Amino acid sequence: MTDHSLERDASLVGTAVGNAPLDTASGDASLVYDSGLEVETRSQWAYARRRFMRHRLAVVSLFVLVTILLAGALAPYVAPYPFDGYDANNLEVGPTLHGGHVFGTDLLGRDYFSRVLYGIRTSERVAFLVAILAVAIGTTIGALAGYYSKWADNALMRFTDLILTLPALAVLLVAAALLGKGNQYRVAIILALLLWTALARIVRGQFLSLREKEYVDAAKAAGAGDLRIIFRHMLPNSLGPIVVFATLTVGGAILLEAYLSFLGFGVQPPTPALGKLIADGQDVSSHDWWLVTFPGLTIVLIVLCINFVGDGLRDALDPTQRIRA
Amino acid sequence: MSDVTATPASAAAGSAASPNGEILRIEELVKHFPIRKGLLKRTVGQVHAVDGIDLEVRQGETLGLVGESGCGKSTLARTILKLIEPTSGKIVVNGNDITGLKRRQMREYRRQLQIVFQDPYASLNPRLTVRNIVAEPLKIHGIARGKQEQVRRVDELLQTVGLSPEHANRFPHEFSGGQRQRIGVARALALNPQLLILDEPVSALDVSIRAQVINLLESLQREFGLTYIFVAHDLSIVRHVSDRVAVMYLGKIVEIGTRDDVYQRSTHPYTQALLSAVPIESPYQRGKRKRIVLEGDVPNPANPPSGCRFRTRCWKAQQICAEVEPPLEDRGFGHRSACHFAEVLNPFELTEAAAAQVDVPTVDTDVVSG
Amino acid sequence: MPEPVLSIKDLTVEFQTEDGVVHAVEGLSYDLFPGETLGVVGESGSGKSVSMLSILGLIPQGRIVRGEASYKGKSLMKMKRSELRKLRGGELSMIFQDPMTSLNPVLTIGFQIDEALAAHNPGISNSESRTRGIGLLALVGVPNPDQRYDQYPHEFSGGMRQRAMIAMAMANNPTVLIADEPTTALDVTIQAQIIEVLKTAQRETHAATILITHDLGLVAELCDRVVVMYAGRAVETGDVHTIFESPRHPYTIGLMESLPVLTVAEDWLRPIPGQPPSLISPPPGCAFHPRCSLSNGRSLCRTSIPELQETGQPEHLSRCHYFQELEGYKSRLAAETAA
Repeated sequence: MTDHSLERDASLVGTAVGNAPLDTASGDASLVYDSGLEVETRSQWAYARRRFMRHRLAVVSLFVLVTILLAGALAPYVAPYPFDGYDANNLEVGPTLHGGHVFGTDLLGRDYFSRVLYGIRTSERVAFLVAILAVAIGTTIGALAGYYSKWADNALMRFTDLILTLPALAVLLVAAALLGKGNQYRVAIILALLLWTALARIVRGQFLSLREKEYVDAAKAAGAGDLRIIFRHMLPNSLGPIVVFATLTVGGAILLEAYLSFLGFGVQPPTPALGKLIADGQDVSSHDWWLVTFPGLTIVLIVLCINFVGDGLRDALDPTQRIRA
Repeated sequence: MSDVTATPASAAAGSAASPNGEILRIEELVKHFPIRKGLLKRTVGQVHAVDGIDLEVRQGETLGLVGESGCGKSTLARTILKLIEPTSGKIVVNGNDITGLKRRQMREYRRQLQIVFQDPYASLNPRLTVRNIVAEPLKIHGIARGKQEQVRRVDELLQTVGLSPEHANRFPHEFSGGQRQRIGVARALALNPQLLILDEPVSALDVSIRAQVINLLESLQREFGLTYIFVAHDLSIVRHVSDRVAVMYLGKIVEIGTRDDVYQRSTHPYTQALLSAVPIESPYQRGKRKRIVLEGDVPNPANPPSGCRFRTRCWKAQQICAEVEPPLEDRGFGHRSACHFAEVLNPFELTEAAAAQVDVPTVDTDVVSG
Repeated sequence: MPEPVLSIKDLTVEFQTEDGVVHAVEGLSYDLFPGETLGVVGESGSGKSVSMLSILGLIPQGRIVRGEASYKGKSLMKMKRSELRKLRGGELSMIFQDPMTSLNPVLTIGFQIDEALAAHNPGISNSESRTRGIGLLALVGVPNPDQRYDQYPHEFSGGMRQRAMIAMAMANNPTVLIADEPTTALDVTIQAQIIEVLKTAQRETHAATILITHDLGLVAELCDRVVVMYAGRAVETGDVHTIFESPRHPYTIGLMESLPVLTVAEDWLRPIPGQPPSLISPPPGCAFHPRCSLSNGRSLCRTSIPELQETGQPEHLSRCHYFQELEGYKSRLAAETAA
């Protein structure tokens, strides 16, 4: 064997620079600096997806939720009957396979299953609109407050506090009453205007901590402007909580819409709304139990599923759980 | 490595070094952070992070900046780049005063000054691929127009730092700490800067990786004629890379000179204590010298001591030290020092007798047996 | 030859993670003798901390796959949890790296010292505990110990908090003191102070000390014997003078060679090429071989894991197939070349 004295090996000196790093050790140049990358590339989203899949409850809930929401969205095609199809022959019939009224019929002979489906449709339209608007408003305000410090932050946060102190339901009722019997969109806007505050706080918090991150400093050192930093560096790293919030807001909005329609506000008949269905069925619920039960169960099921999915998302997207290499 | 150095036409404004070869000049630079208390956030005090620094950095040299935590060296690094706005003082880059420039006006100068950060985990955006991270400065300044040109340039930069371009489409978390630092260096080089501030570039890396990155930085310096400000607390590393060294304490420079001035002929007691505190390198050195021991802790930067800031821990402190702040000037030893009683002391050869002579508190570097 | 006070044999620890099984420690064996200071040296991922924490029962997520650890002859793994707890803080005490997070911020320092004392001295009176606590603080060099006793951790500086931690570790006259990177988070002048405190602690308690660190300088100052770890295994063990003068493992040599020396100027550093190995899928054979210039690609290194072998010098073991080829190598830190 040759003399392998460990005297200074001049070739090791040159490995720092240049194209093919020499490596006297194994002869395989790529091992020198790039070892450890043989595993295929996985983005953060892939890890998040995997973590989510581990929550069986969340996965099942997602399945159920998507099914329900799809059914609602496709109500005009899926519902066996139109929502205002009066069937004089089958008034106040309980759930039965006869005539395909799996949820029964109401006082006017309308197929309840169809009505519930259309109710879901209404709910989800409002809810998604609310979520989109609330996310947009909340993110913008939160980002501005978190990025621009001091007085902008102060002003925006005090404004947020103001909104938070308003009793949501009371405001809703007043606004609904003032704006007249509104359509879905008015309801959505009002709800969004009340719900954005929680997200603003969260996004502000995220931005405050991201502002101190060294990669933000690096971008500034390279000459990046504010917009670039916000959109390319800070927002993408705040998506986790935003997604969770959006999910949970959909659930919250569905509930709030149900309250509103229960109380007679919000969407007006003949468009079915789950809350209204319950309200209408209340009087005769003692013997026509299905009139209250099915819409009620539907609401519960949807909100429950959303919460489970939200939990799963929160775990999946929580960066602190990621084990560092 | 053909055209990595910028062509004059595309170089940033005013990028020619001033006639005396100075790339950077700082005068009386001050950065105070307000301390706010109470509901109305009233300012009740100031943290004197950087308290009047004068510094010149010449083309091609490496200036080492050492000090312990709280001395202000990182704040100084960031203030020079105007990532933090200075409270007062002047920053002159290649003869141009950039102190008062706003964000937009600073953009041009960003091409001349760049920074490599300490934390390889926090300095890269985890959501961007390595390619995007390194290409960002190019995109911001509109260099290397066209996708192909950008790809070529990024590949070139990655190879320069010893990484393979094949891995450019991966994410930072797939790389080790040392590799991430290389990515950070590649990003810093993208704009062909003249001055690179290295803020503790290897402190967060494993010991066996540090030498790799240091060698890389040194060869890059030779290849591209870079000027470095090397901020660190590890005295051995600073000694290895620096041409000149400045020692900071509580927001001020207490001693500055060539590397040998500071490491072999230090005259400021803090520098001497600092050098003395470094653990011995071999068990055979046990007992061969005494170690200077400092009393107490670093004073609160919100309330620095009057006169000489080091006097609360200094064995030479006298009345004058509390009354008059010693200026940083040549005390007759060939380099500048801020001490009324500056005198040469070699901490590495501090025998019992020598220690007694200067009346400095010391301890043994011997080990306790069983 | 006295009996070892702590003995680890073939310790193997694994972790389950998202990406696979992490082999944190593999077949680790070493002994700790009474009164000595043993340095366990390694970088991150070497397993130096995990090995210690796991035998003390402080890492629930880690699974001890096999191996034995015994304290004064009694197996730590077979001990009941309550028994182990009694040992911790009493005869086996630990000092951790970050004094900020190892001290409870809402309790006074005195309260926490008292806790340590009371847990192992049932029936100790309040005043006696206070006296002993203040005495301990004085011993570790905390100024105005009677006042400081009633202060909270945030009122202490980093160095002082570490002193307080050492005081707590000394409180019950431990037989074994384990210091896990005790100075890594501290400035160098504070580190020098803490080194003194550690020496004091050793002098007063005559405890056997395990110093876990990546800093060879600390080892050179404080240790009698050294265990060098890489990728979960011990790759070289021996007396500190022997290891520093004539190391016989390429990793140890590489580590020493790559450090800049304070008193000698050099043109280039001599790094160890490559990256630390993945603990999930470590390289086959010797874990160090991809980075080893002694190996130079020889097949034995790639296929078989070397055993710890005697090098010929007393008690000096090396885990390398070709360590004999390092015969005659003298490190630059050896006696003659020291400044």
